[in-house]
Amino acid sequence: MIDLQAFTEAHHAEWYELDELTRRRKLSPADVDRLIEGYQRTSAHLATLQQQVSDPRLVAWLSTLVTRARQRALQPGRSSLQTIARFFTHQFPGSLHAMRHWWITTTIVCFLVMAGFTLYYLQNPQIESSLLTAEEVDQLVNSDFENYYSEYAASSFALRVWTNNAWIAALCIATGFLGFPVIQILFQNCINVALTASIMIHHGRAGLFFGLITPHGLLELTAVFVAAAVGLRVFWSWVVPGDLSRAAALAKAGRSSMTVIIGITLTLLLSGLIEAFVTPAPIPTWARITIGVVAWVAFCAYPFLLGRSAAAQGSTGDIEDVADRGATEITRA
Amino acid sequence: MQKQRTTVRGPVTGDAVQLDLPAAALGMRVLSGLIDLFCIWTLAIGLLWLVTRLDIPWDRALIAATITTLTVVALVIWPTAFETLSGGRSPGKYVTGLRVIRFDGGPITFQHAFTRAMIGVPELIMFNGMPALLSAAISPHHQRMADRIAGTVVIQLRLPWPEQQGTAMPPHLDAWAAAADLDRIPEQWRFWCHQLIRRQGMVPASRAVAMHDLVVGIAPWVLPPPPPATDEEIVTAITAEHCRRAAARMQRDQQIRDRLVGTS
Repeated sequence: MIDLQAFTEAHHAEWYELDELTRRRKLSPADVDRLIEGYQRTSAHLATLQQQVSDPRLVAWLSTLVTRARQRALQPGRSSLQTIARFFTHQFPGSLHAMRHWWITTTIVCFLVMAGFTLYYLQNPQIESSLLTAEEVDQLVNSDFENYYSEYAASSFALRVWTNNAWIAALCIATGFLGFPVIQILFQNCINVALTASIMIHHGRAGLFFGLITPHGLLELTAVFVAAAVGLRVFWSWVVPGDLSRAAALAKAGRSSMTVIIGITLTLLLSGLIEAFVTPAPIPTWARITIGVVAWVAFCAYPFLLGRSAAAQGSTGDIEDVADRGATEITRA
Repeated sequence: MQKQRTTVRGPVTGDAVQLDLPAAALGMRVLSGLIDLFCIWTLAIGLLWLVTRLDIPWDRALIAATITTLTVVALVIWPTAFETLSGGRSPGKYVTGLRVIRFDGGPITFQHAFTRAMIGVPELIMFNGMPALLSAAISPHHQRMADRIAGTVVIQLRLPWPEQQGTAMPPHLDAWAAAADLDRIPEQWRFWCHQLIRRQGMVPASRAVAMHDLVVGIAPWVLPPPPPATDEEIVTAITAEHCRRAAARMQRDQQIRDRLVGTS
């Protein structure tokens, strides 16, 4: 057994020295050596004290000292251009590839729901007339829907569409841990699109509708569905944690989902630019649709072209350096 | 078979050292959060004022975009940048002495900070802090949802040094203590001696009773029995002697170590 008083007297000079080093703003190379050594020795002292009944205040004080020394010694590297490049080549495609079952399923289901509701509204025109008056329908069909894309200056329209969509997508992911709000947002979104589609088709403007919505809508809707799918995965991670503890599974899925927020924000920037500059552009409809489809196919292929190998190397959206994750359990990459 | 539950303690560092870090008190967290909220509002209003002074052709699309952008700057970008660059602090945490650390006690990275800020939007703003409060109240580490999702804990990182006065050997017991066999006293009793000597704030009567119980309790392991003295003096002498012997032993160990591995 260790005598606390003797132990404290023997070591408190080292502890104070370490304490002083952690407060210093600049450390010389010699200081860094002393800091590391002090950290290791103090950790050993703490471990020794933990083995027996000892003064909890002293243990708490030493724990904070060890933590501060560790924080000082392990300051994570600042992001560099390389980190940013790796985001596009590894992190984002890797995370999309790792979650591919989730977002592919969600996207297919949502497109089916939209198609189903469109057909349902078309077969039951009384729903349309119960929701909107004849003038409102007339205005939507003949001017609103088309003008929406060219009412404002293209640059401010692009900015609004982008910020709005990105914020909604980000909130979809951030509220994901609650589960049901995401499904609600998704369902409402699908129903709204289906309603507009059915009205336009019903009034013989199907060509106009698909000509205007396809260029940007494919990519935009897919991006929102991906966001919702990732949000739902965060929810599912704590409902069914699999072979991790609940806390570890939630943290892992949660941190990975944040990579997708950043990536989806950039994807929506692309779809916003298409919506503001291509959708209302005076070029043939087939050209506009081609641009939209190319962008959409590129986005869908991206996780499979770059992401497969990235995910195999362990980039699944969580913090790249395993040691920086702070996970206290062994996790599969 | 009964499932054994380990008691929840602090994080374990990468070197497998168990830390006993006091999770920040809920009240402190709320106070810190309110200060942060005040900063966020100040920032948002300040930015709004700056933006309105810009001489650009405003239309409704641009106004909507600006409001969303300001929201993102104030609620997400500002806290993320602050927490990342300061290593887990925020204005409120500077005032209350709190700090965000990883679950294993290490420093947080950009992704931890971003997760905390982003989850904070639904948790603190949209639902008025209810999920945060609920989550922190039922969590053994007082983690709000964002902490659980990022894998972080908020702790009090500066504690006062636990001052302990040294125990002075009562002079007339010195010779007895130096020669007596005190090493058979069980660990638990030694610890109690050690603790009681330092509890100066106790009610004198209770302290006297406790002292007496200690002296009676350790009597079977002490040979020869102490010369006539008060209970307090006996406990003090035993504690001081234990300390003296431990210090000598540690010094001896150190000398051996120095001889074997060389003095550094």
